[in-house]
Amino acid sequence: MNNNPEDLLHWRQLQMVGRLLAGFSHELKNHLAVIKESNGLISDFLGMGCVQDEALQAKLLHMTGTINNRILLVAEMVNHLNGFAHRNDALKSPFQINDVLNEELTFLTRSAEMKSLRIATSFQESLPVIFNSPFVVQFIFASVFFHLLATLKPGGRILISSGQQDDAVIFEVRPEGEAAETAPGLDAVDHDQALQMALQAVGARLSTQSADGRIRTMTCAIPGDPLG
Amino acid sequence: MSTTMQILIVDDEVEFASTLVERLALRGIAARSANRGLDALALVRVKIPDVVILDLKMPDMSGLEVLASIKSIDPTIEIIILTGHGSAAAGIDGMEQGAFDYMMKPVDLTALLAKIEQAYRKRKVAA
Repeated sequence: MNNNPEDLLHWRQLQMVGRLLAGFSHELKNHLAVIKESNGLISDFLGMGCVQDEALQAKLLHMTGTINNRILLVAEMVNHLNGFAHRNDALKSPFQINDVLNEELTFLTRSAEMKSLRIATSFQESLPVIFNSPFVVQFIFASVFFHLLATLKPGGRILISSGQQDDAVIFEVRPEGEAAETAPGLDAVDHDQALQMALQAVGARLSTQSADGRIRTMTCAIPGDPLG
Repeated sequence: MSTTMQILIVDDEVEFASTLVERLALRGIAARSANRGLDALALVRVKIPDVVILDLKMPDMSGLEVLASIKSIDPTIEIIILTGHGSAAAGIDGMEQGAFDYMMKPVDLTALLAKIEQAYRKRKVAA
């Protein structure tokens, strides 16, 4: 990544967005904590038999349980949002590829669901922490993800995996299922200039395996430090 | 869990702190709350708590400043940090400065009670 004035300004702008998001997510967690404890106190009272009508008590306990489960789901999303917001704190930082993929999938999953597609993951454990730009890597992953999302008909699946290849860590995205009739061509990725610039910025290599005119797998290899 | 244990909850979220005090009281645990760092230190001086549950972000003092001040009053008081940060970094900073442990908001009460009990046992051994 170059340190020219234009790049620096762009990065500082993104950094500010990240800080705002981080502060926002922090406040959300405080609100969730208040809601969770208030809901917990209602459950405590119900558990003490403060409501005489048994049917009503059971219904209210069910409702407090539902509220609690939803709070936990939102808290997990907010954690990922917070992590995502901090990814642009520095131009480069140490990160684990599975963490940045998981973080981003929290938000990308909805896009797949809207197309009736499922997401499956197979992440290799104990991958090395690498020093690069996690934010740019997340941009690359999202770009690849959306390219391949467009190639599938509803009912299909996108398999995302991670691993290690020589001195780089890799992520792989594999679309599985029937091809969409209006699927983008094989050269769509090559023509995505922003994606190509991002790949160059972090020194990553993106390779495509295809068959029968369809993309079967896209693999991105990210070096630990392209400047090293 | 001991009924003589004294807990102090320090959090600028008034509703959070007061609700947690009430939930602990329902379980037979004596708890007080403060919503500012300076108020927390005043309560500590009036009656030494066994365990402090401490938020990191407050308007008058940072949680880490409160932590250092409490430890200077009585180093055996155990402190559990409750943080709204998404990463563990802030909690680890607190542990490096003497906190017993940290937990992320929103916290599970059962897990918090278990952590309080561990902290209390440690203080009893040290006191």
